[in-house]
Amino acid sequence: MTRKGLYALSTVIYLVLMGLITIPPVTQALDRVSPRILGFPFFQFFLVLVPVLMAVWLVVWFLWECKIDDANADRSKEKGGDVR
Amino acid sequence: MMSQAAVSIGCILGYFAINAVIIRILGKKQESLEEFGVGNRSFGWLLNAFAYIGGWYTGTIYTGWFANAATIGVFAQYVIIYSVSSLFIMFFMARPVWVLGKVYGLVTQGDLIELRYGSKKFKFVFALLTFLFWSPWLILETKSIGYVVQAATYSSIGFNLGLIIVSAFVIGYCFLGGARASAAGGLVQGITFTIVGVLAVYWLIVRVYGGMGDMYDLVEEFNASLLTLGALGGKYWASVVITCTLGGYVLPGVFATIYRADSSRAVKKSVLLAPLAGILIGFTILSLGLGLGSFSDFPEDPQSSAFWISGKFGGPVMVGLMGILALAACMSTISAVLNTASVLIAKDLVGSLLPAKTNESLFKYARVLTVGVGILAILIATMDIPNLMFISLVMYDCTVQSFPAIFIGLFWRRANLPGVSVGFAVGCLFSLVGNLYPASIAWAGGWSGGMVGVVINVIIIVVCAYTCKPYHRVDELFNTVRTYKEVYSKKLI
Repeated sequence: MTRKGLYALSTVIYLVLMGLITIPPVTQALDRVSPRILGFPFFQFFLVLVPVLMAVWLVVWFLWECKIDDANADRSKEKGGDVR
Repeated sequence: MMSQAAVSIGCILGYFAINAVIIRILGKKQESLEEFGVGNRSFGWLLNAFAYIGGWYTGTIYTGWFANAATIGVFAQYVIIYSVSSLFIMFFMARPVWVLGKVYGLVTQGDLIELRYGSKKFKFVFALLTFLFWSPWLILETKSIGYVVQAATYSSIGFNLGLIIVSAFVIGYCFLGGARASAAGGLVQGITFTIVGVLAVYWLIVRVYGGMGDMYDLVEEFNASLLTLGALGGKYWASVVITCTLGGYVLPGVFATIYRADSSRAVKKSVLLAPLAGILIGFTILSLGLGLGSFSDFPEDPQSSAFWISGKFGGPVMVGLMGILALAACMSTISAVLNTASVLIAKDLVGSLLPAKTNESLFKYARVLTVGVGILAILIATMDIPNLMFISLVMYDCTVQSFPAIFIGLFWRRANLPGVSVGFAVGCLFSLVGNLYPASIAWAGGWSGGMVGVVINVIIIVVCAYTCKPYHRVDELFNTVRTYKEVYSKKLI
């Protein structure tokens, strides 16, 4: 995957997660106390889940981008260029 | 009571001594504006991470937000959502902002605006308004210090005296050590409220409620509506989360975080710690506050409830520790704002008005302004300002209006000066009118003035992009970002 592709994927993931916690019809559907999930009240569970998923994706994004950058650097070394 | 106060004051004084020693060890002599403002772009990822965390998480989380958790329930947890979601925006911006900063020697957010749109006048107006929109938070944090010192010392040190002593300490190290001292302080303070704070607050949750599950049972029985958004949900909740997310990442301090790292990879690496810290700090402290309304002796002033519950279940040592946590959060935020604001005024405002001034003389201005802005903040904080929190939130809604100019400008070549300047002005107008006269935007069906302003702002930028010419150097800037070869280091500090 290219850096552009990774950024596009991150945008989609970001919009989906933000949508889950902000789009009014969705939040209204989630805005309940029962049933409890893993001991958390229903809405509280999503209030924790969304930032946790975002944090996990940020780590994946960082590692993936490092991999792309390193691959680009190796390629440019082979070609003798300096584009990273 | 006096012996309890002595224990608490002793804890706080000991913490101040640790701060002073670490800031002294990590500090460097300040010799230039670049050193003073962005630490010569030399910060390793760990120093940058905690400097960022320290600057971002404010002391009000232990006072105002804590009180909100007790009175309006889970709605207060929007702080967790936007703190993490706005890091996505930081990830997007990190490389272009860092590369342009490095190549063109940018020190402030205004420098980036001038470089991207080619206008010194727009830079001046943009920087002035951004500073004005941001400044109420400096006052709020300075006021929080007074609150915290008074509550943590059982009122043996008064509000004004407390805020003067602590603020003078912060002003002192910012004046002497600039961005590096602010970051070193942020490192100690950030580690304190991230690691010690989370453990201490979790211990309190167990002592007060018996555990998280028991706390939820208690709240469900006492007032189940605290566990839902209820009437505060829908478009209002969405507006708050979205505007805070967008606004948070165009604050001038965020640009300082990006510039002072030694590479864009270091920025991203340092940002990886922030969501974890945000979730843990926000979730534990706001969960502790969630069930406190069920206590019959819950204080009349809910802002002091974190200290009240600490004293009730942990004695004076816990009150002292809570004081340290809250002071750590306040000091790290104030030092970050002071340093960035003094450089902003010197470079973007004085530098624009007096273009003949060299960076050397602007550096001297920045140092003096650190003291000037700090003293002004203390003076205003000692006054009784009604509705300061409301003013701060309205200003935040205005801050959001700079998001399109920066973010769209970084990724879209067609964005141009007429579009961003008119969009910014119209967006700010909608934010102000929508907040001061909510009836005027009733047609928006519950969306806030800030949200309406952002949408109109973006529409104006898009329309102007197809009707006006872009800045002639824009291709050069985009090519610089695309082709710049970064050297990555693994430096920690």
